[in-house]
Amino acid sequence: MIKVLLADDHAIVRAGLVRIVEESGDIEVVAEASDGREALRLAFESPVDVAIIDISMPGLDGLEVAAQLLTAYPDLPIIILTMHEEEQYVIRAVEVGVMGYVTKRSAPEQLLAAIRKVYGGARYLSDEAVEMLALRLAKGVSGKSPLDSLSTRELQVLRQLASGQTNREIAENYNISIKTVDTYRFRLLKKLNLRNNAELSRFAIQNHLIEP
Amino acid sequence: MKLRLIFLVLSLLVFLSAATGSYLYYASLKSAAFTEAEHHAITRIEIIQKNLSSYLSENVKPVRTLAGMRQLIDFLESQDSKMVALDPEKQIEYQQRTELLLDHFNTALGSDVCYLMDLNGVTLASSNRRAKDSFVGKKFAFRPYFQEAAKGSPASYLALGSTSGRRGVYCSYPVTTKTDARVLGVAVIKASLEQIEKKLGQSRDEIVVVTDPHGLIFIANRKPWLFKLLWQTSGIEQHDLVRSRQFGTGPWAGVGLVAEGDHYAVDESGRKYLVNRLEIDGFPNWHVIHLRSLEAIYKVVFDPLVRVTVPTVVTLCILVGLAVFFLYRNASVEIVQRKKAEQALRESEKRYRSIYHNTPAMLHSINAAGFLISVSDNWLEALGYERAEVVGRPLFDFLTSESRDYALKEVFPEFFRVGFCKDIPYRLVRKDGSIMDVLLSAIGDRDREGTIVRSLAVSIDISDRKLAEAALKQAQEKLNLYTRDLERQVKKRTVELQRLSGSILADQERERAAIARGLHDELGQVLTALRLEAVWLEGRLRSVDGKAAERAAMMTSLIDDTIDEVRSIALRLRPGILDDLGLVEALEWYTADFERRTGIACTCNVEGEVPELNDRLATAAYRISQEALTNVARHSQADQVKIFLVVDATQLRMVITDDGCGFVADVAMETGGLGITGMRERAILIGGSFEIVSEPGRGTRISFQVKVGEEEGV
Repeated sequence: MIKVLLADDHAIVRAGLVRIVEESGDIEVVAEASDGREALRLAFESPVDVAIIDISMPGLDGLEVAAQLLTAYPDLPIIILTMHEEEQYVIRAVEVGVMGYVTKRSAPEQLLAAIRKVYGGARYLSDEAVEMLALRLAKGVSGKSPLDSLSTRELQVLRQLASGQTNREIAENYNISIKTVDTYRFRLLKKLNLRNNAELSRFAIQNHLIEP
Repeated sequence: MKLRLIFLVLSLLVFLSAATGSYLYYASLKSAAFTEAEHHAITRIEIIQKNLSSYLSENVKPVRTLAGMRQLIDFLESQDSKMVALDPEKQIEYQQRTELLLDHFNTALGSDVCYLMDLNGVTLASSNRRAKDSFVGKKFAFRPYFQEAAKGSPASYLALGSTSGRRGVYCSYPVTTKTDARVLGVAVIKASLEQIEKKLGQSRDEIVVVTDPHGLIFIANRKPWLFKLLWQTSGIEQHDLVRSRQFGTGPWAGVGLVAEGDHYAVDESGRKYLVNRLEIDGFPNWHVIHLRSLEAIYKVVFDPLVRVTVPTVVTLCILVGLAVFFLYRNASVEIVQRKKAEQALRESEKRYRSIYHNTPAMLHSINAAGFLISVSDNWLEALGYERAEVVGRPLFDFLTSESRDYALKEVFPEFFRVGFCKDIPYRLVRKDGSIMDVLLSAIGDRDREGTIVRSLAVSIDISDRKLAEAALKQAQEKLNLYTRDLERQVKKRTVELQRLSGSILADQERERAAIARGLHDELGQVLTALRLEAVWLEGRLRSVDGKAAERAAMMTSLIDDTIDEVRSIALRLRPGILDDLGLVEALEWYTADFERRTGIACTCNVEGEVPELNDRLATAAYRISQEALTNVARHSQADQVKIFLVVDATQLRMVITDDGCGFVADVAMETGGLGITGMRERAILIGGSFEIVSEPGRGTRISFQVKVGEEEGV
């Protein structure tokens, strides 16, 4: 059984989540906390296998709790389970050192998989979060780079184009028109002073936007 | 008037001098003419005397020849009783031969008569022996010429013929014997005087007479005067004349001529004569006398003089008169003009004086020494002095001591150098001791050398003005006080308003944050819980009741939409990311979201390590960028927008630029459109600055700058 700590200030949500976890059969909630301090106390009282922590909590917020837990138990897999769907939270959470990030909305579908994955030592992040991380990493690695002049969406389109996606696929992915994708492509070529998609791919690889 | 008189006198003097000159000229001419006339008279009498002399002695040589003739000697010898008596025939023959000779001489000489007398004075033979008045046989022994000749010496003589009654000149010569020169008789030639008289002429102006030793007129060119005495003579002389028997028996009247000095004489009619006399050669005491009428001389002198001088003098007089007239006229015109000019000058001076005194301004003049030489009535009136108290005193006496120093040290030297001064602030002392503030302006009057000799100054009383100025100053100070007070109040009010506005904004933010959090956390959590349930339901129902499971899935979808909606509202109100993660993450998220929504490429570049920012600052920066991007999306038609966030230890600087259409920044700043007021307000509230640079067609650049660390409490 995977022992889990669940910290969420909202009782109803916590109850729902507990139910999802308990129905799994191989995972059990050994501790439930309604705020950050309680979560820390419980975690220190009896160690757990995985900590599932909400960000928005009274007192210490989830990221702070995660940081403190990781100080005490550097190997403890922590999953951030939150209402926040913004990628910025994901990045912050990863920076803090958590292994998984699941939105509450997608909890019914993803939480158990996430617990199992992090328990197995792997990360669990959404595709969007992974992409964001990759972009952030690329920027962070190159420092002052031509990437600075690109907007988020431009970076996204660049990454997709470099990895061989068609305009139509990209349009579908981001829920934008094919024409807009073409506009982004044209703007990218101009900003980066490149001539075609092949050069775009080479540029993306050189800048660690995609794996070769 | 005086000038005219002078002119008249001058003209008269000119006239007089001309007249005097003329007179002197005339007098000199006259005296010259007289001298000339005298000379002429002398010359004339000399000629007459010569002529007379030669005429009278014409027969002297012929009578000698006659007397030497053989026939006469023979005839006389034959008559001589002492000689041997001749026969009568012979005697007659001698007589005839003598008579023939006498005739011959008489004819040849053209004389009156030639005759021969014996020693007794009896005429023996004569050329007029056949005439009624024949001399033959007559005895002329009383004649001086006979008596002289009888004595042996020839003689000439003038006498009235006692036989013929005709005047004549008698030339006698003794006839002598050849041997012993004994006088035998006397040969006589008598010539008539008529010829001579004719030669003397008949001029009325010139009288020529020949007088005998007694003054009896014997020859004259004036008949009535003959045989009269030229001068009145005494009885003795008359007697002598009678006795001489040369000129008849008398008595002889005078011609009425009275001598005046040696050279002049006056006749009965009052005519005056120039008298000259000369003795006739060969006739002792016989004189030729020349009387020249003075009148005639005058005439001779005057006529040409008048002929020449009168026109000259008249012309001269006319010319002088004309010249005088024109000069006088010109002078008169000039005098009139000068009088007019003088009048005009007087009037102008009067006017000037009137203006000077009646001008409602304080006028005064000082001389080079600084003494008052004139002041206007207004000056006296304004300062309360009498003219006599002022004129002649130094201007300094009427200045306050400061003004005096000022005048001495600065104004006077400058004035006497440049010749004018303007708006000199003086303080004058009135008679009653009170002070008058004036502004003095003056110009200098220069003499020929350019030295300033006096001034004309006008002073303007500015006491009232000064008072007004003082009052104005006071009012201004009061106003300043009010203004300062007002400003203080406004400032206070502004601060209050800002505080209020700040607190409103802060409240609003708080409110929004609270609502957003409520929506997001509370409602969101509930919805999330609901979704958990719905998903659970769907899972349970799928194997039991397909339709119910579908319904549950629909519910889940509905709940998802609601969650999106709620999230969206909450994010719009205030993104939790700003509170949870900070400004940079919030901007990153917002720009990405903005790009997603609008399709406008949006980059956010951060330079430097962003420290923990306080809530107000982060909120302000976030809201400003939000407003700016909203404007970009709404108005700019931009393709790209960039946010630069530059942070260092002291300040945060955010610059948002777009490549859109831009706008007129000044107008927008003034009207506060485009949410500019709000942005600026937020910037100011946290002590920052805000600036927009934009131009139509050149995009927009918004800068926001604020100090970090020194936080202003609200």
